[in-house]
Amino acid sequence: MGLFDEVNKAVTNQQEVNSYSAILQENGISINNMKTANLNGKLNISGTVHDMQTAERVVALLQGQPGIEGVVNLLEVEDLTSKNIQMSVETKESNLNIRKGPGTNFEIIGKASHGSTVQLIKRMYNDWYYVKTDEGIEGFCSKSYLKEM
Amino acid sequence: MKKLKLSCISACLVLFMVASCGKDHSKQIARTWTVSDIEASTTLQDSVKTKMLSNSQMVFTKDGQYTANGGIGTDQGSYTLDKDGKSLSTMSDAGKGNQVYTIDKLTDDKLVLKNSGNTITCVAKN
Repeated sequence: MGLFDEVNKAVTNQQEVNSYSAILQENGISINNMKTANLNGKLNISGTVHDMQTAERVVALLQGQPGIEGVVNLLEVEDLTSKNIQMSVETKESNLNIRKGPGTNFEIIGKASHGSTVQLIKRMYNDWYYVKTDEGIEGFCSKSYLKEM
Repeated sequence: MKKLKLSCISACLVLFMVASCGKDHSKQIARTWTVSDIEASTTLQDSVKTKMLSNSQMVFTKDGQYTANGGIGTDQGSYTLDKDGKSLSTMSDAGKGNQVYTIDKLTDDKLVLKNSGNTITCVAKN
């Protein structure tokens, strides 16, 4: 124990974050508000990323680093609500299915009509977005049928 | 005989001055200090720094005891100053050995401590 314990801990932690950031940047990945804690080889990593696939790439990249036996993924996908990104529903004629999860195997919980607009909340996997319809229904839909306005 | 007397007086004067200086440092540090700034060897995130500065204070008492609390961490134990007032040693009650800090500045209202490339600045609490 000592008067500088917390400062020394913060410095060690920041140096770790810096070294992990460098590895991620080499691979074109950036994490906002990145925090890490290495607990006996188990690396807890938190912060916000662009989408879920990025989070999975982060885990894969750091998993193999010296001194890391496992990675606990506490990363969150960036919440875009405040950016108010509106997207138009670009289906051929039909309405767009809004689902409970990111995949066609998940239950349909609502629909966004052809030509309507939805608000982008989070980019999940590359082909699936979490959106909010004009009618207030929140759920997942395929990115293929959306176009940024 | 006169020379001897003069030498004795001079020696006493020097000893008195040295003793006085040491006493001053002990007096100066024995108060409550509020942590006002932290400069780390690595740039820290603002949120981390703010958290560490939050309600952080160090209290050094005349009887050689200290406590630290707030965002900077909780610790208590005993301390000693070197005679020049240039270094501070602490022995935590938690019993994990002593720590030595360089005293960069010690006045009645400011205390600056350095350790492992990190600097903590404190101001005297009124």
